[in-house]
Amino acid sequence: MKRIVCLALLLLLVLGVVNGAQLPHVSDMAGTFSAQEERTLESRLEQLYEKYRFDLNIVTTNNSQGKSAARFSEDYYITRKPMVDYPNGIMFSFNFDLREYDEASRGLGRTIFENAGEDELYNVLKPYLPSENYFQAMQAYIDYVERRLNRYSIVNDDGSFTLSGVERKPTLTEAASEIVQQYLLIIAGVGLAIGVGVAFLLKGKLQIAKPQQNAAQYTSYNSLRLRDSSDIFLYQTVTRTRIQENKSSGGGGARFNGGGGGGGGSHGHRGGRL
Amino acid sequence: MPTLTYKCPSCAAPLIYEGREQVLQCNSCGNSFPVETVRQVSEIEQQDQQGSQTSWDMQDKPFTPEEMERTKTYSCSSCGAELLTDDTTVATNCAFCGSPSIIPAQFTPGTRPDIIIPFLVKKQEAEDKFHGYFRGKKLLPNLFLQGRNQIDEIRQLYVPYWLFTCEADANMTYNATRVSTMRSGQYMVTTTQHFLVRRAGTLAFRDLPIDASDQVDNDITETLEPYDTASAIDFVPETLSGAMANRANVSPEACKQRADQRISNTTENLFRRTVSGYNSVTTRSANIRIDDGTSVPVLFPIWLITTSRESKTYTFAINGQTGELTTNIPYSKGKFLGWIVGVAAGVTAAGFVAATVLRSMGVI
Repeated sequence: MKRIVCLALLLLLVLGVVNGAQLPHVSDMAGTFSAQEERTLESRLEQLYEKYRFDLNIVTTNNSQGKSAARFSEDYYITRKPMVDYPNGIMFSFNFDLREYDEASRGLGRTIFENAGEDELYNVLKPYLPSENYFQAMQAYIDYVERRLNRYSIVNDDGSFTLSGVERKPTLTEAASEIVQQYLLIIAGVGLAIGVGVAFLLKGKLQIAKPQQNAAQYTSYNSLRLRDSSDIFLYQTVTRTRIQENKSSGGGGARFNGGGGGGGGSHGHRGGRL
Repeated sequence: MPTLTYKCPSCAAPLIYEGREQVLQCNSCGNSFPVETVRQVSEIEQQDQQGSQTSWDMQDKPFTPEEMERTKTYSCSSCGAELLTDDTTVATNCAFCGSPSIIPAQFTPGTRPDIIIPFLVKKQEAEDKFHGYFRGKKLLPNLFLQGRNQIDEIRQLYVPYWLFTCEADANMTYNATRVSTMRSGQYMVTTTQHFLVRRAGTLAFRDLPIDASDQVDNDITETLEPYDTASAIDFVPETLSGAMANRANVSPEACKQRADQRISNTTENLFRRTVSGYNSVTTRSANIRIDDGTSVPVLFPIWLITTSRESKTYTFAINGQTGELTTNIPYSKGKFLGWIVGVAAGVTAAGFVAATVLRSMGVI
């Protein structure tokens, strides 16, 4: 009898894991993506999981079931993928009925992403949200997640990656890539400005004849005498500009940490308004 | 018409005015003489020679009326050769014997200089400055980097200027704004206060030099400024000895326009500086009047050097008082762009490498 019970439990456990591993990473309940786009995202997320053992999921919905975006994403994540099977991961949700997005992170996901701040997430999505190009937004998001996971990974001797909670310093190649993406234009602009400055400096050394425009050096010392110095106030204009709210915080309550949406404090959150 | 040549009382060689010591120097025997002494000796010699002078005009081919209008002939008082000059030349050197000749009669009424700044830069120094110019000039056309740059001609020239002294009376009005911003609830409230600013007053200018000759490019003469008129001396013809000189042939009225332009620019700038404490200031009206203006003729020293490259003549001018040099040679536009691109690429590459290393070290 004991043997039967043990076998049954083992079978359940194996089935559970297998089922969990086979669960898709993309749940496009809102029909946001085309079939091809969904397959592309699914493929990339599966590769990410294989590489880092990090479970990144995307869900879209038009029905948040009366919950906030944060609560929805966290509940959906817990229900769909229990923490015991997927200790490290993210559930990213587009809640179109709320016009919000949310990122619920767990385990090392919280360590790696939650503390990066909402502005960082907003900056990743910003180029694509105004045009409602959600597929490209998710492509950029996956790139961003992969970059951060890489920085929080240790490369094993066999080439595999092991996630850690500590950010490592980038390799020269990684650093170069980041500099190209973030600072190359600025550096080139500074270089161009210095180049122009040096060229004009060298031109000035040629001492080429040019006419004088003023006679400042021929003014008699202290000879400026003011007989009338009046500043007359005429009128004033007042303009009022509404202060733009921080788009990344959204103002809709999407930003909260520690599972304030009812997740029991097991998930961290970042989010904003669409 | 008579010309003046000052000869050494000792050896009869031509005397050259030495600006630093302010004496007439004999380069032949090495003696130097005060101006007054030489003048007295010269007057005595001229009195002795009166009656023995002959008419020597041997011109065979007549000048055209236009040439006659512009050209005048004098005889060298040293060798008797004919000095051919234009009507503005007041000092030159005899082409035959090299003797310096001064032609005071060329000064038309009102153009006799009040003061003159003697040459403090000697010929060798001027030549050294010319040759030194080509070192380290990265944007020089290749034309000037091939072989040695020879001096075609070097002239020790006194250039006539008008010195303008005046008082500018300005009435300026400006539109000015002062902007303040404060937060009020969900709004940023920007208050812009508009002012009418008025400034009126005077500003004195002294000894503004304007080139009074059309012989030298005004860009060159203005670039050679400033001259220190405090070290000028009263003009006497002897100071021209050894140099070439022209009298003013541009009237003060014609030069006044240029003076007004520079004076107005400076007056506007200095009055504008008295308006402060605003976020923006724009000139609404500017009314500048020049009062109590005077102009006096003066002579300032310039070394003029010409050099030829590929059948083109280029001019170098050196301030005979300060040694300041200027030229009209062009710069290489190709090299100019090359330096921009090269430096930009180098700085970008260096910045990229530095930023990459700093990023890999976790500094940025």
